Amino acid sequence: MRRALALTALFVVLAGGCGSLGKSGEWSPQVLNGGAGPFRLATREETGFESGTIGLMLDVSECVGRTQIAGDVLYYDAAPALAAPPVRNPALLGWQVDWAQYDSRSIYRSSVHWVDSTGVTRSAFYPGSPILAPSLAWESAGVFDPTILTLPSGAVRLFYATAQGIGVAEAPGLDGAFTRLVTTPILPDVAGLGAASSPAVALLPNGDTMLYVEAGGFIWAARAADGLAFTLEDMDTTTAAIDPLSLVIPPSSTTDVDAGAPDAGGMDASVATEVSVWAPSALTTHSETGRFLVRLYFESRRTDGTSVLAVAASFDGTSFTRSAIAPVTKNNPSHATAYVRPDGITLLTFVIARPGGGLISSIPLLGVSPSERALPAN
Amino acid sequence: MVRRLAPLLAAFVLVAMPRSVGRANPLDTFGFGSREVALGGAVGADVSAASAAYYNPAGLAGAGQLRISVGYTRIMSSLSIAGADSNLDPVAGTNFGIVAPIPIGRTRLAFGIAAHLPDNRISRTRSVLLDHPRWELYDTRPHKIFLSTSVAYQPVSWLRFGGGITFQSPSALALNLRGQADFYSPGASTLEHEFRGNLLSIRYPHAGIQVTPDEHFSIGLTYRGRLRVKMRLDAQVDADLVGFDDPIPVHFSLLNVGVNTFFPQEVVLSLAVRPIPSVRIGFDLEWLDWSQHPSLIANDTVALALQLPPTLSINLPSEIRGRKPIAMGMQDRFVPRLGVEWRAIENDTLAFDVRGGYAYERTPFPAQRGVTNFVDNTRHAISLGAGLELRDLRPTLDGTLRFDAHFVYYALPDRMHQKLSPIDPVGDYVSGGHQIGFGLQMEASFR
Repeated sequence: MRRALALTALFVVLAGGCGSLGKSGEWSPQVLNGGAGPFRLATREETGFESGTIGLMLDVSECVGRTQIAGDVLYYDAAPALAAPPVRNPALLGWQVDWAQYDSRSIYRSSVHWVDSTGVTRSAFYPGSPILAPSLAWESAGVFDPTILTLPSGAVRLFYATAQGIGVAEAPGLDGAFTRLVTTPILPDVAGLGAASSPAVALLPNGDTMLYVEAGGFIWAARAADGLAFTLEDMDTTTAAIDPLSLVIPPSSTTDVDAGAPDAGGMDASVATEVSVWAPSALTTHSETGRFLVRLYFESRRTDGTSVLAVAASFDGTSFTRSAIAPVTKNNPSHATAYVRPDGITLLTFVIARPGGGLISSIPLLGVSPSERALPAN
Repeated sequence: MVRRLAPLLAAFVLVAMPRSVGRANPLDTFGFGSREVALGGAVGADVSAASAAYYNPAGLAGAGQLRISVGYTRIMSSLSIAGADSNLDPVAGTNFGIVAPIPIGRTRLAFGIAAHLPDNRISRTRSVLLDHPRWELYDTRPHKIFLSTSVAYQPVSWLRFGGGITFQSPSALALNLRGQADFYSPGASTLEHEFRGNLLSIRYPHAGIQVTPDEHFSIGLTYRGRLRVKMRLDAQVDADLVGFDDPIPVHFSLLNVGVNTFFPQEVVLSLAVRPIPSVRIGFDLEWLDWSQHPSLIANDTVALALQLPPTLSINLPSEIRGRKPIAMGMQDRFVPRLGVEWRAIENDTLAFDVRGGYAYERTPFPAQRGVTNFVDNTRHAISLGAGLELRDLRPTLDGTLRFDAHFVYYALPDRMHQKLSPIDPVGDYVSGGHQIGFGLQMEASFR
């Protein structure tokens, strides 16, 4: 009998005690592995800049063209304004930089993160040092739009734009000295539309290198087995001409645009106001289940003169599916590049116009996705 | 015998016909009663405690005494999606049960009540976000109160049948906002709101039959109706945007109508054998009609009427398209359950049982390759338990006291969800993990 009473008492205490443990928890965290955003601007705490434009990731006096993060290193092109700049080209859109008002651009590298006033190392960068300046005849108008490809050997290839085509240099590592690999520009003329610009590169699993460039308001793809001898790929073999990438939004995913027929020219007629696509950058990654992916970030320009960023992705590097969602929409962002951190956070860098001093300049901002995740201190 | 059984089977079939109402509760996911969970839920053929109100209401008539039970159960989940902990709340609560048999001549009538009162909340509901993966069976569905009443009848010693109803509550919510919103100084806005909520009541049936040809063998058949818990949200905003030369009227309406929770109708065939008096082996085969799962994507109707000044340079969409239901693509599933119980000790003063069980729950959800993200994995349930029955308690209690405890481990092996679109915002992910649980139960039987 005593055993029964003791067991009963023990049971009542245990059940009553457990029953008072009730506590409501949080919802499960969001999962956004697709790299399509939406991206939020990095906060002041994350960048370390306690004043200035929110999201600013590099504070330099020069005008910045494009930035590219690779590991803990930032590559960018920049140029100071000319002492006596010419009159601004009236054909440019209101937010576009007139690079004729600036000195020839060079490519810089920074490997030092910003330390804020409390001594914590943050995500922004200190100004870098030039690593590649125009020195060849076809580079005389500047070297710009850097993009980095890390080879399996650990060597790093730097693809950059010039006024006459694409150049390539190589370094033994992200912080090594670069040596030019080509003596003449790659893709000096794309389908009669002029020299290729804004290079983006992706190393495919089969060893081929894909080079994506802009020309004439379209984005084109070229392939090279050796990483240097690129040949344009025809993205629509039903026509006689070489065609650019098709970057249309599948009808099934048109949730915020008016549906329409795809444009044969490589732009998306379903985005009713899109007139051209520019400035691609490529990111290769593997999904969590191990599938290879190429993501292409680019600019979509509209009939009203504005620009939004767009993103498309592909399993093979040639057949792209475009997202119906613009990862960043405000302030005419351009020249976006992306980098996936080891912790899975995707960083998107892009530039926006900064008026002042009589010239349109541009500054680089940092976007973060998933937006609910915070960038840790470095 | 067939002639005698025919009317009873007809009555059973009538009760068991599919209805437009049904059920969803933690018991569907984690079971009810320490002994029953320890046996893997394979008890439909011979269950006779208060938990029969859930497993097979016919078993209530098998209780020869008044039984009152109280217990506590707790399940902790360690599940992840894309490597991130899914932060699932523990499912925990107190169980209550009463079985009251009434002898009528040589037959017996019995009433039973079973209830589960969650620790954290009476009910949890959550609308679906397409791009937010969640564990569909474990995120919100188990967080509900359970209340079931049943009646059973034993006309002859080898036959019992019974039925009952379980209660659940759908919701109808309305939110109205009126007043003025200051475009430039939101803090100066003067908006008043009205919220109305109705937690309605729905009932759904369950029924069962037990046949015991001899003391070594019994068969059970159980039917549980399906549940469709609906949610309706009607939001209206009628306000003026101020801060301009003239106030700008704004009208926004959102009507969200959908099924928030669904659990399918199911049929369970149960067998129990006693090859030797001290060993009981139970086997249940459960069929769940998951293919009838309606879309969990609500039907949204959205309307916005607003004319902003051109100087604001804000482009409003000409149309805001609401969501439309998307087929779930689910399949029916069979769940086998096995339970073994060994009476290790038995004498005039006490009895001691040791139990083990296993269940294989193949997921009815397809891999999430499209725009939806209803995550579920196949689950293996491995359970252990023990029970102590004290028999010599007079004069304090003319009856017995039972104490049961169980431990259960659920393994959910990794599952890949590879998206058809390379640009899907959620992207590919892997889901998996495990759950562990325990429970205690005390039951007093009165002669």
